[in-house]
Amino acid sequence: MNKPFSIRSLGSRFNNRKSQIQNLKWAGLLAIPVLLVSCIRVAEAQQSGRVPRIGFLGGFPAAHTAHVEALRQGLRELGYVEGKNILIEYRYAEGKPGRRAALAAELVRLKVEVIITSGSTTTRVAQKATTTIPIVMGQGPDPVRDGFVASLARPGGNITGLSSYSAELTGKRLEFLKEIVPKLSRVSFFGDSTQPGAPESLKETELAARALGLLIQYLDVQAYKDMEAQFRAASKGRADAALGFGGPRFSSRLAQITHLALKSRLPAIYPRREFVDAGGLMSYGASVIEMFRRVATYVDKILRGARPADLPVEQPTKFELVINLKTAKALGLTIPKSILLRVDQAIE
Amino acid sequence: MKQGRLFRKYVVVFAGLVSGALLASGLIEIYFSYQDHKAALTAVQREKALAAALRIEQFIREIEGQVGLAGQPQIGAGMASEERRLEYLRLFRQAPPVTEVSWLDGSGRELLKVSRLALDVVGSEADFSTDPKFHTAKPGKTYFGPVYFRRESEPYMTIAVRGKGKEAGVTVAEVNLKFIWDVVSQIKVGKAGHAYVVDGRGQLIAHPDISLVLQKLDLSSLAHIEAARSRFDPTRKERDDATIARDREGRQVLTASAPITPLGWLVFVDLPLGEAFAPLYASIYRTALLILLGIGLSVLASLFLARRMVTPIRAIQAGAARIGMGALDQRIDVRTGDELETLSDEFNKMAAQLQESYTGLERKVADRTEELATANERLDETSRHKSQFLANMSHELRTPLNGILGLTEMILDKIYGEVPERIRSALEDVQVSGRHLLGLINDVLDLSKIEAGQMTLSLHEYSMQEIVQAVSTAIQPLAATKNLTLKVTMPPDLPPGKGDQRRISQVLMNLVGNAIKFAGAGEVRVEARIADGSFLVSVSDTGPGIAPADQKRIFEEFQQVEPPGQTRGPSPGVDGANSRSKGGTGLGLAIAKRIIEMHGGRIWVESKLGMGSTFTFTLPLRVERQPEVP
Repeated sequence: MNKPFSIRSLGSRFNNRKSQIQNLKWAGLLAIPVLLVSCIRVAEAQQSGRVPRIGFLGGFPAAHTAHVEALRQGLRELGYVEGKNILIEYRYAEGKPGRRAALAAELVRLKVEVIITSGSTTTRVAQKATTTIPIVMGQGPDPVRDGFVASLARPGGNITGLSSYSAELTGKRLEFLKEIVPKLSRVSFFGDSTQPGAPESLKETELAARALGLLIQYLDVQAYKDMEAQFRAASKGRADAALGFGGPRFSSRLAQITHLALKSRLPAIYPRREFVDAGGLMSYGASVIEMFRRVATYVDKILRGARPADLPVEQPTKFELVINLKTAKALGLTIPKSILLRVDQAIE
Repeated sequence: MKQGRLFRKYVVVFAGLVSGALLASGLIEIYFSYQDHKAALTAVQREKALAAALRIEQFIREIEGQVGLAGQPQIGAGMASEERRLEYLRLFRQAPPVTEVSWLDGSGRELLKVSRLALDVVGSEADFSTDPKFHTAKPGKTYFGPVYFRRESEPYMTIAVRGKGKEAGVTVAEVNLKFIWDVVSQIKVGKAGHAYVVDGRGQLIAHPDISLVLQKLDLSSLAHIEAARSRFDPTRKERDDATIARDREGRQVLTASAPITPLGWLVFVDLPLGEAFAPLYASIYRTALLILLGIGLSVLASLFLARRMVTPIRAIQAGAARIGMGALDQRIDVRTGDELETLSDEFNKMAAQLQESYTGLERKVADRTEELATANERLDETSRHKSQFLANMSHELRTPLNGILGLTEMILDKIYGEVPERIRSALEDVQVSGRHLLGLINDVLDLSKIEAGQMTLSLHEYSMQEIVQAVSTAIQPLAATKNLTLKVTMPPDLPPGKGDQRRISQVLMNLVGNAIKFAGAGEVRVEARIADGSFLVSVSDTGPGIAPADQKRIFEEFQQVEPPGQTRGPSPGVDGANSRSKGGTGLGLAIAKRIIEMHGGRIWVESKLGMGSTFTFTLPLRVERQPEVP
């Protein structure tokens, strides 16, 4: 009797070819989607390499520390860490004439992605240096008047940024002076004719003064050395108060100015609170620090591909009245209720 | 080949069933999950829109309240200008969005304007009595003006609140709507979604990206905004459904809107569709992966299952095939404990029974064979006896016959004296009959020897030429008596042959004798040549010819053919007495055929009635061995 025909022998013959091929087929089919997904993930993970570079064009480093810090903070909030994924080239003219233009040209040569300007003077220099690299104004009294933008809603060129509305507030500043200084009649207006828009701001001031029944004495500070002389002129002109002080020439000499004002017993109202922090009596204006923080938003948008022509100019929403009580006391001024009600911050 | 089809069938059915079930359930789940997700999302979007609308409304209402308070801190009492101014300064402090506030008296004349930015104006008496902000404002119904842009880039709105009491004036506030930006940007809509506000005309008034507002973007062209505006009904606080639409940049978003009724504004809450459906997509992807995995596993499982089912079936099939082919001792070993095992047992039983019957059959066959063998032996015995008998008999017959012929010969040769004429012819008749009888006995003996396989050929060298010549010489006298010419055609170089010369001569003699016998007149031709390595000899006559039906018969024993025209009895040629008229025993051709065939040759006839006949035979040149008796 032969060996019976068994399953086992049939089974082992079977195992080798057919089921192996079937198993391989299915393993392969399952592997395909897994491979695809991992490829996609790898592709997504790859980022494009370049670290963007921006330029900051200013006057004196000291005048801008707070602004720069605000800018850095604004950038951080948007995810840019200086040194890691963004580089900032700082260029300070430090008051040397003609230096600004050279520095602007240098930034243009460096092919920075954005140039941030600290004021209208700087903006003008930058505007001359390039019409293609986007320029973001940190502040500026009237970009339309100064020819930087076609309109606030649609700048239309390579310049956009923030506008500090400063000149328009000149009337309000006179109002405040009128409230705090009894029997105010003559006011010295400290200006800088080298600043763009200087004649316009003088005109605005004179208009407002007329409406308030005040007389304006225009004092031009074209160079630092003129500062003391003009204060003497103010005293000589029997000015009851002072205002103006707009522009880098003044904002770079905070301590000197406030000191001179006090020495001349001149109640002054400044465009920026930094003056009050340095001993000035009052300031009414927008927070420039806030504005520089907002600059970061512009930088971010431009780096993402937005065109400055399409980004509208922002104006500040908050204007703060800051008073230095110590200075007020030193000048022997009493602060009326109307001012107290309006004051946003009082410095001891 | 049907091999493998059962396996494939099982695999397909199992895998198909399970995969189908998985797929169906997966797809159904995905479908319902999509619907549920969408419903949940739309519900959430609607809620968000409502909440956003509420917040913005609260923002505005708060300002409204503050403006109202500033306008009338005390009911009834009027206020001096300075007092009012201070009140307004307080308002500035409390409501940062208010940039300007002015007081219109009961007849619409402006008596005071206090501003954050511009110079304050006292007692201008400007007439605003026809201005909607004056006459629309009623106690309890604040006037909310349309959105306008200052300096082309700042959105503002006028709020006018009328004081209570007779002749109460109106406090008008200019509200900087950029402050709504804070509210709107704080509204969280998923990760990448946002809320924005659009006024009654479709113009954007608040957006997390303030620059869009400052651009005075007009969104009225967007489909979903247009739809929402058209549905806008300030009297009903009904919610709108969330829909899928394309936003300003053309991306697909899930959007819901809610009205801010007192103002006629619409707040929209957009969520990018990708983000909205991301968890759903993730779950679909997961489900799809699981389904694929399930299908893969089901295929593997079905392969395994099918194999388990098919293997015993295959075993049975193969075993049955082997049994069918005769290997009856094969047994199928299937131990699955089910019907298949029973089936294989039945097969085995069947094989066993077949085996038994085979052995039975074999035994019977063996028995029968034995019987046959015995019968054959007996037959052989009989045949041997017969031959022996014939041989004896013929010898016994021939001896006296030869005696008769001899004596008759001698008498005719006058050895015993003169023979009178009457006696001579009678004696010649006796001779003829005697010779005929002798011939018959010889032929019968020859034939029986040949049939018994006992005629042996005496194989020696011969010359065909000699045979032909001898025969023609011998037959010449006979031919002459019938006035027939004998024509012989032979090539001069016929090779020597090897065979039984005597028997071959016998054949040729028979053929030529027949030809002469049956030819009425004319000639008899004898031809001998080589063809295809054999001798080809033919004898033709101009006789009556042989009918096709008879051509086969003539080579059989005792068959003679009478030429047509001569009516005979029912069976012509069989009657021995009648055949005597033509002479011959009727055995000649049969013997000739045997002899030729014993040499390994062939003999046949070609004939047409009335045209004569040609008998032809072939002989291998050299016959070394006598072929076996067929």
